[in-house]
Amino acid sequence: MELGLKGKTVIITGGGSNIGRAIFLAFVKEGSTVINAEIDETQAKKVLDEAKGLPGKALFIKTDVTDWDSVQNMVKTAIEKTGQIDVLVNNVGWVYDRLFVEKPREEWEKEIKLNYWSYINCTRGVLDHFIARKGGNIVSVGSDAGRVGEFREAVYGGCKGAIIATSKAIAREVGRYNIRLNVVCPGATIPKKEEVGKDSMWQEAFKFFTPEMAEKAAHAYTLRRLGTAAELANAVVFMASDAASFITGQTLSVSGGYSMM
Amino acid sequence: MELGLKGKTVIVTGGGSNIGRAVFLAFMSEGCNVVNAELDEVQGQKVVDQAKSLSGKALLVKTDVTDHKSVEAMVKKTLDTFGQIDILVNNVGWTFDRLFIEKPREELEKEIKINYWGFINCTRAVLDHFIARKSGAIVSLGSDAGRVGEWREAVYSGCKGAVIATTKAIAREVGRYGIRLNVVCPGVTVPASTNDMSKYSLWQDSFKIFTPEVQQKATHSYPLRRLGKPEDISGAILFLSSDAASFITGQTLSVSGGYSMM
Repeated sequence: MELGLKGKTVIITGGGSNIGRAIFLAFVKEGSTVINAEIDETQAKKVLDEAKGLPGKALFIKTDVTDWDSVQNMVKTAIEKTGQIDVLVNNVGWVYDRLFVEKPREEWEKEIKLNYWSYINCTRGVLDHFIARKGGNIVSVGSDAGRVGEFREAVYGGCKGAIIATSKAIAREVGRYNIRLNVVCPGATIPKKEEVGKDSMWQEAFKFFTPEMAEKAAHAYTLRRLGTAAELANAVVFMASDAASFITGQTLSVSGGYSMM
Repeated sequence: MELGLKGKTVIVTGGGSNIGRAVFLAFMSEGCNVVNAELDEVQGQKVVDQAKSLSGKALLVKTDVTDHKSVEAMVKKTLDTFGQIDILVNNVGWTFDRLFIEKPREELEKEIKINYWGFINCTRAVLDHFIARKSGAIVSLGSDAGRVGEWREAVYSGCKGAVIATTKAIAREVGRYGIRLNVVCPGVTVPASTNDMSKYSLWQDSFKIFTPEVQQKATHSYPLRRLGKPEDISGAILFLSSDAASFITGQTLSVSGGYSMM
């Protein structure tokens, strides 16, 4: 099946860890020119090394997605280096699981900045370019938490629900310019320790998602196991590709049947 | 991206026309063994011939999906020929647009038989084999009509809604065997011409309704400002059938240019 991704330029936010890292490597495997918009330089360089020998080009532009100026600079640099952006993958996300009534306000503010404002900043950051060239697409990482609500992830779920709803709205506004927006929703996706950088939510979440917890959690999944970052990455690659040229405003769960909507 | 489809055996129901034909040809391009379970033998053979230069192996098996004995015979023929089945695409569908209060009962019965019983018969017929092998993927054609309801397609919408809900239920039951079921929902998907269609295709009569003027008006409801083509739909079906979608089950994906966003 022709995906048409060879030579395309793809920006991935937070491509240093877990799902972002898997998505980054997946696009480099397709022969794309892939820009890692990552805040952790050390982790980004690790992933650049891992990309050596793959058919595409791997680049890094240090970015703080919660800072509008940082995002604008990243987009400007990306266009200077590559000439044209074809795909944006909004991947950065963060959560610390706690009951809503036990959440400190600072954690809510952090979650809204990292999950929703990051999505708004980056999406807004590329749209003028996409509209001018009447092309381009955006794939954002949502979560089943945003579709069905998740225990101990109240505001995180809200941010992911916001990404889903905002994607549909923007898709309606820019469809006329042939720009597509879609969301891919994972379930719990546990990385290996060496696949995450210092800012990853997993630095603390490993304490909670022990192997015993993961085994218990698998019972809620129709396919009786948790998902891998690579499986999520496949769906992102598909949605970004020419094979999905008539798909926009959609939300696809890649979560082993955890939610079925 | 490695789809892992080469050499897999796929059944496509109604592979003679429009979406079914595009899906049949797409799997043939991937080097699959593809069974065209088509009721119109002449058109079915035409499409098999069109696939000659592609890398897959084609087999035409005349099938009436509304007759479970015909479906069971087709499944048996597939197993006898290819030894195994990996993928089923429930594609056969039919409708004739009319207001619900103007629909004759015979048309309602025809729609339920073709759209829902066809799905039930074919799904049931492959499941024992899938469960025995602890493997298999089923992708069924739904419709945005089944998600949001469509004017002049009341019972057709109901049948497609049924395909969606039943898919989720069965997905829950057989996920433990590694079997995945998903649904792809097109919007209005117009074939290139009436020449390359089976005599049973809904488009034999529906071009009278979907004239060029009506099609042009309809595009206003599509954020991507155009109607679907059969080739638009096959990419999603190939993806969901493939190993690349190994963690996707019970899902409903609209391929309709944004017509519905759920």
